[in-house]
Amino acid sequence: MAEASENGKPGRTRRVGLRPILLALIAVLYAISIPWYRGDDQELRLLLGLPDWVAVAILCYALVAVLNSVVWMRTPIDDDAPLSRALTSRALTADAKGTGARGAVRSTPDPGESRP
Amino acid sequence: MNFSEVGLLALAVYVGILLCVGEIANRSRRNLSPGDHFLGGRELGVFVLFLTLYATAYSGNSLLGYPGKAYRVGFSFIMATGFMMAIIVVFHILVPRLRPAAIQRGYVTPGDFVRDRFGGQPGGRALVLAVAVLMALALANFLLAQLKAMGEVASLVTGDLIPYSWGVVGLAAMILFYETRGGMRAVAWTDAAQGILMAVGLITLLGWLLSGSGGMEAVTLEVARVRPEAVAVPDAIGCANWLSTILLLGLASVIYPQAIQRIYAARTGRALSQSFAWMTFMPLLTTLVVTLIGIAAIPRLDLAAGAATDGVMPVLLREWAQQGTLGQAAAILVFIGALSAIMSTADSCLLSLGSLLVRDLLGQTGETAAQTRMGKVLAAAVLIAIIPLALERDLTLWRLIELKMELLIQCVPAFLMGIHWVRQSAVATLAGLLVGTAFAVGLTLMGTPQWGGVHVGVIGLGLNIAVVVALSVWERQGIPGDSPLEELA
Repeated sequence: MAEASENGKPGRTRRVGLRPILLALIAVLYAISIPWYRGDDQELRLLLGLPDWVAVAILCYALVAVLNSVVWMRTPIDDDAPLSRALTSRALTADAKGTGARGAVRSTPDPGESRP
Repeated sequence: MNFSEVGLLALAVYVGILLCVGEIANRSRRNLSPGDHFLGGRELGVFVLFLTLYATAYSGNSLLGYPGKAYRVGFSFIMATGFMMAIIVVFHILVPRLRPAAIQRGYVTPGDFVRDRFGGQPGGRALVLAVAVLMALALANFLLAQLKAMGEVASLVTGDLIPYSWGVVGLAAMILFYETRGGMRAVAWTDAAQGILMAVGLITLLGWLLSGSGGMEAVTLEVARVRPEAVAVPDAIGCANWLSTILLLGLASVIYPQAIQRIYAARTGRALSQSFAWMTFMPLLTTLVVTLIGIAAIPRLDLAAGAATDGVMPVLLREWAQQGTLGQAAAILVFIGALSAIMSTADSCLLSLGSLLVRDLLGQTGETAAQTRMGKVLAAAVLIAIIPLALERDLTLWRLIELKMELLIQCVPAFLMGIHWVRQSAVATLAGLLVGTAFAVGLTLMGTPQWGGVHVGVIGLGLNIAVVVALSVWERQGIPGDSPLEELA
């Protein structure tokens, strides 16, 4: 999953660092796609054969598609990765409240049974 | 052969192919376990996974409802491209953490995650049930809308040679057959074929519309002439509604049970991320296309105010079919593509309903064949129960359909927050869900679906999250060594 970078260390850290930046850019593009910036009394202006605010929205969504695709390609989903602490620490938090987490564990199917 | 006869023949060929796929999928199954039936043995590769995600995400509403909506409101419905794309963006919050858990803990339904995350806490079982009830209501509602759309399209494509009621019952029986025989494999494989048909049909239709109208600029100028408000910049309330719609659809659609089950069904995590990398472009090829089709129809059609705007697409297709053999063939292709979109969503809803009823509502877990059989029986029972409602052609269910997303979005904290925030408790999540749901449903039923352009479901979600955070922090204050600030997993 991780690729070696120039300094010989795994490239995974660099990839993960870029992800939030790209996601923040996507959020900015979503904000720009909504025509807050245009007065609703202004006359029709065309861009690429469309009202300019529509063309801006489409261009924003096209850019979102490209960036989001890049983010997904850079998102390593490892089926054997350690689980979220929200799942692994539930027994501790339940015990701290004086209730066992056995119910949850028991009710979960055995992973071995469901794997092909 | 006239349009109706060619349509009937095309429909017969299409249904024949679906039945064959169902039978092949049945022969490909490994066993009768829920994991094999409801998740296709968790072996969907990139290509099939991408197409099944695509065909499931785009329903009859996307192909018939969206052009009508764009025809009615004009260019501001371009927001639809944004909210369909937002779904694939919001998945970033959920998928990277849910997928490993699903594989390592053997989840089959969305409720399996909720049970695993909250089941051991006080109120956990009630939360699982509450989430399951909201999801089952949304799925049943969605299935009903698809059945009605199936009847309409079957009647349209065959020129009423197949009446509405026969279309509903016959096509529902087809879905039940191949879904029961082949499970997720049959659904995914038919979705793949249906997705291709849908994309080809839509792009062909847009090409015909634009070429016949002198290009996009000519269409825009003509729309501005005949209906100036359709090109007008949205006002402040319109902009707030644009953002609210993106939030509502983007967040709620991620919680669709059939979408979550496809996360579980992928062969590998890498196949899943690659499928999403492709899926993110599909709103540009589908939602944007149907929006432009609806807008291009504004100067061509003069539907009376208050008329059912879902009829925009069928009227356009009939007009197209009158322009010679090529137009007729292309129009039938689009009709079958629309039917594909509807059936692919209906079959996914039905499959998810079966698993959800047996595991999340009845509380059965494990991997037994008996559970799979019960899931099939329950799905069939729900389908049979819904058919009489679908046969009421004039039954207006728009308020219930509106409610679907307002309900689903209230499950967001259980999934999108629950998988990240260690200290989130079951009681707090249940309380938030009840407060958010009561608020959204109450105001919608009282005739106030929006406040200042913002959907009451989105405001309800805000209340829901506030209750979840406040109660979770308050509950943990009594636990020694617990600091509410430290725990974002």
